[in-house]
Amino acid sequence: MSGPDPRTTSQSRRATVDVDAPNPVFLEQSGYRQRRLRDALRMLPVFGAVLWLLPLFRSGPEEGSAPGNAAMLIYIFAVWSSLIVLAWFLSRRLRFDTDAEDRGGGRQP
Amino acid sequence: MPGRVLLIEDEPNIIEAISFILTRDGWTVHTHSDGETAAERVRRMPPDLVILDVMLPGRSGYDILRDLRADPETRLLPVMMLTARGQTKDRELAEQLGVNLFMTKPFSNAEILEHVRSLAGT
Amino acid sequence: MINFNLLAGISLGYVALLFLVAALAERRALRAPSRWLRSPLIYTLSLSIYCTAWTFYGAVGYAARSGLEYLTIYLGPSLVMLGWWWILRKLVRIGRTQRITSIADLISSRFGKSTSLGVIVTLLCVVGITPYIALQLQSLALSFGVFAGAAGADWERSDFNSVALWAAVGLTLFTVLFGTRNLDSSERHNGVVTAIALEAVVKLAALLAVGIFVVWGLGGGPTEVMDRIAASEIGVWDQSAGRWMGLTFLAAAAFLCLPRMFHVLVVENSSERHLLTASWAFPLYVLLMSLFVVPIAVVGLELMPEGANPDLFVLTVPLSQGQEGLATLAFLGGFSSATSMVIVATIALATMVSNHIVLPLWLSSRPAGGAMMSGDVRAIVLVARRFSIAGVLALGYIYYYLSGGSGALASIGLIAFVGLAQILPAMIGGIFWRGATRTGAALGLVLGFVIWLWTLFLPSFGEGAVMSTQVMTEGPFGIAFLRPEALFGTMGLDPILHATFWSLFLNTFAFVVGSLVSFPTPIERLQGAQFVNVFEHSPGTPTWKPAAGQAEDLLIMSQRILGANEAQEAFERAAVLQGKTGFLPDVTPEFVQSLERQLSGSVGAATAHAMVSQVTEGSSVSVQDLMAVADEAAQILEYSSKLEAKSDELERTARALSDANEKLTALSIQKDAFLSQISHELRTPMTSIRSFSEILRDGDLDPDAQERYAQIIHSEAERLTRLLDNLLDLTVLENGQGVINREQGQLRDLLDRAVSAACGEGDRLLIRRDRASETLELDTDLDRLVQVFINLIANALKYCDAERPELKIQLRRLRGAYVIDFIDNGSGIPSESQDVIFEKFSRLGDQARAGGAGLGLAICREVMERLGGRIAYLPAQGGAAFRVWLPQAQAMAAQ
Repeated sequence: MSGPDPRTTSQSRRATVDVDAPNPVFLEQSGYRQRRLRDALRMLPVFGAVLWLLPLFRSGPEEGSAPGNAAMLIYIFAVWSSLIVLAWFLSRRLRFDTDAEDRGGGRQP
Repeated sequence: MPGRVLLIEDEPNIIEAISFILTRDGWTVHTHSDGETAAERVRRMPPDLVILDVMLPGRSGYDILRDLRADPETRLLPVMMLTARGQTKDRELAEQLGVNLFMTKPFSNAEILEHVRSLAGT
Repeated sequence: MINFNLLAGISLGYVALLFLVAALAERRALRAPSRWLRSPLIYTLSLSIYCTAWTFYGAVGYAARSGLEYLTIYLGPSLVMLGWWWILRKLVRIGRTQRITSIADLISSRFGKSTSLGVIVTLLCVVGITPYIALQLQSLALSFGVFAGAAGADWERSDFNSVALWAAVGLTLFTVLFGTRNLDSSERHNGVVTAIALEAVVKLAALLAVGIFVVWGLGGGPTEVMDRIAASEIGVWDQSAGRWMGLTFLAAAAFLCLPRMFHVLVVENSSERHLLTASWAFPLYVLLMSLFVVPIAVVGLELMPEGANPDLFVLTVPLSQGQEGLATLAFLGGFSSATSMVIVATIALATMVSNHIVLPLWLSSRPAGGAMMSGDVRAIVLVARRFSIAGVLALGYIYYYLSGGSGALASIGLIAFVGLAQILPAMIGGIFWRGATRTGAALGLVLGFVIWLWTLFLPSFGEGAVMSTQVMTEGPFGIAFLRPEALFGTMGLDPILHATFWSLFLNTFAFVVGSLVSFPTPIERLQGAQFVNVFEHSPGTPTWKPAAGQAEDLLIMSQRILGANEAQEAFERAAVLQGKTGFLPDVTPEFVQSLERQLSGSVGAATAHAMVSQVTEGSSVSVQDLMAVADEAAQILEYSSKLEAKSDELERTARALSDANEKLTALSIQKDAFLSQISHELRTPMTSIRSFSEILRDGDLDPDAQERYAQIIHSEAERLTRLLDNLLDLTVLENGQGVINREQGQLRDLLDRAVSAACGEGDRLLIRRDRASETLELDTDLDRLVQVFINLIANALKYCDAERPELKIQLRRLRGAYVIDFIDNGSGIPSESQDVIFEKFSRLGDQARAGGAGLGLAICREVMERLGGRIAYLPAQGGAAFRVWLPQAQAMAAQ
């Protein structure tokens, strides 16, 4: 007979073992960093959305100085690329496993 | 004078042996091998003597005996019990329930014949 | 010029390649779970089915008509992906813990495993996606037409139709072949996913190649192209703010709600970690996909004659420059975009249709307890799914055929987005708001659906097609504020925005108000808590009281859905977790819940719930009772999960202890019983022997009788000997004495020996074997093993009570071990007796007929233990069934 199925155990284990101690007020440095990384991750799409909406404030047929689509194209793609680089950076730094909010759920084989 | 004997037993070879011995002596032998319907069979056609095995399919011989003794019509019917287990407590239980005679297997033919005659004979 | 036949040949070759890749991936996944097949890269690439033919070809056309607005279609999903921490992470976690099979299943499961919600979402998806599939077929037909046109052929309508038809047939075949191989969605479609990953690479490469050719080959480099853009007719930024925001939002919503996207994002996801990579890689992919769209559009507008269809610039620009190779690559890119979208969309839709429409209908058409009765549910699910696939594609083709392949289809992409976005409030509300109820969700969905139909979908067929011009301009029955494109008098809005705003606003409004005023059922509240608090809550919130359901009934049902092996393994696992042995765990709430979740991976939550409830009847009542307790229990749980860990352990230990105690008590009773049994078993034959020998001694018998009685004496004496032999055997085995004579031999020969030893001439038992498959070289004590087989066959011979008794002997490979199943077609052994049959003298039923002492199975068990194997009773097989695990080390595969 083989051991119990990993799926079942991971579920039941999650139910029982992964209980945090009451959240500590101060975290050691790496834990603190991880939390700020997650904050950054949360804010990323918000900033992205705002930056991509900015061009709208510059349009208007009555203004003679409407920006050209060529410049707009460069602007949008520049924002896009920066977001991707940032997301890549964050995803490299983020420790998915030790995620306190996850309570062990993110542990994948 | 010989009469009717009902043999309640489920081992075919033992049925054959006892039937042979008793028939040879002039008895009319009926056989029944199911525990569950045995008590009912006795009531339907009361014999002069019942020979009852303990280990029966469906219902044990003790239960059948209990039934027979609870029914006024068969309360006094002579019952002879056969068992292959033969522990003391089996015998005690049977006597408590009101068995007339308790025999352990294997038995000698002469022995069983003698007991049948004395229990059913008048 | 490249001719049509060559192009058809190339596409067929490409399709063959896809088949090959899918088949190889399936095989590889079967042999060993490959890390590569399930890498984050493949996951990201599979997300690219977001880019359909509509975006592959259409983006350029879109840019040529409306400037940069096409970008919104990519910006929305990029934002969702970049913000994966908010929504996707939760969706994926819920999908995994609840074994969600589709977006309809998600909604249905969240709101109390509601069948009706599943049906609503499924219908919405079918109505929204069918035209979308038709659009893909159209793009395939059109792109073939471009080449045919370039080669001088003038295509008729019927030519386009036949291309679309063949495409639909081929796609059906592929999807049925690779999309319905596994039932459990958690097993995932490795073949399909790998094939679409390949297609993702092809379409990206194709678009980049065309873009590079246009920028450097035709446009004279990036700087000059930028100047050309500024100078072109789409050079000025005059974007409507409403459409820019609205479409970005709509694309983001669609990214989450499209059935095919949900399927690859959540259902096919094999690890949450993949989101980490996809969070930046998917935006990068769509960035690259959209990078050259404007240059191609601008250069195309300059180069191509007035009135050329900008939707086909990706093909026609290279063709006009004589770049046939490039054009063919672009064609394959478009082909990939169309086919991968259709395949995944069809799988997703077919799963929904079969789980939420076909199966519930089938289930309700049977009497109560139907899930347990005859018929293999698994086969029915598969057939349902295959027919659903064919049905969805047929619908797509019919839609294409009827719509005449005209411009009516061109706008369907965005229209479908708006339709599917109606799921968003229920979905987001469902995973973030515990107060959301089934009533609210149903109200919102239906209202949004109806408004979408009224304001966008029906008018999209063109004025006078479905809606009369009068209705369009004056409203139904002249009621002006119900005019489809100016609801409640909101005039001057773009139709898409108008429909998006009103449908989603009223949808959300109805959802919120409906949720606030209605009261959820207990299951809804429990599911709601599990969904919303998926990261905090254990999935173990009890949903059931120990119900009246029997483990064996559940096993019978599960075998029908999961397949025999998997169901048996799952039950055995559950039993082990409970500290029990055998195949039948106690029917605890935890067990029922996990079983239900496992089944829902195959047939959807609502159906699984209905099926399990049929067995564990009365559960709906007990949930109501439980609810009051559950609320308190949840609060206590928050504090005491740690304690729970310990108490679980304790409970297991206690169970093991009490089992052991029971066994001990039983043992001492058994000792008494054993002696008394031995006495009985010895005295019974002795009685006959003694009696008949006395009869013979008395003489005076006819020769026939004499002969007969001697025969009886003889056979009873043999019975005695046999009994003593067996007893001796057992004692030796139990004390671990006795020599094991290891020999080598063929399993087939052993079984032959056993069958001929056990079965006499006149036996009615029909033994069914597949001798050819019994090639297994054994190295163990062969005589002992044969003894086990003989006992098992003899057992069937004695106890199988079928009209025409049959015994099936079957060698199987199970988790690396070889097992032999002996299954007869009698009435089997009642579950309360299954525990005792391997005990000494445990004979069930009519002992006279059996003629054995009840030692056979006890000996089997001892022998197998001695040999390092195992034997167990296999419940729920129809008749009595025994499984013999052959000793692992001694069984060597012959091949």
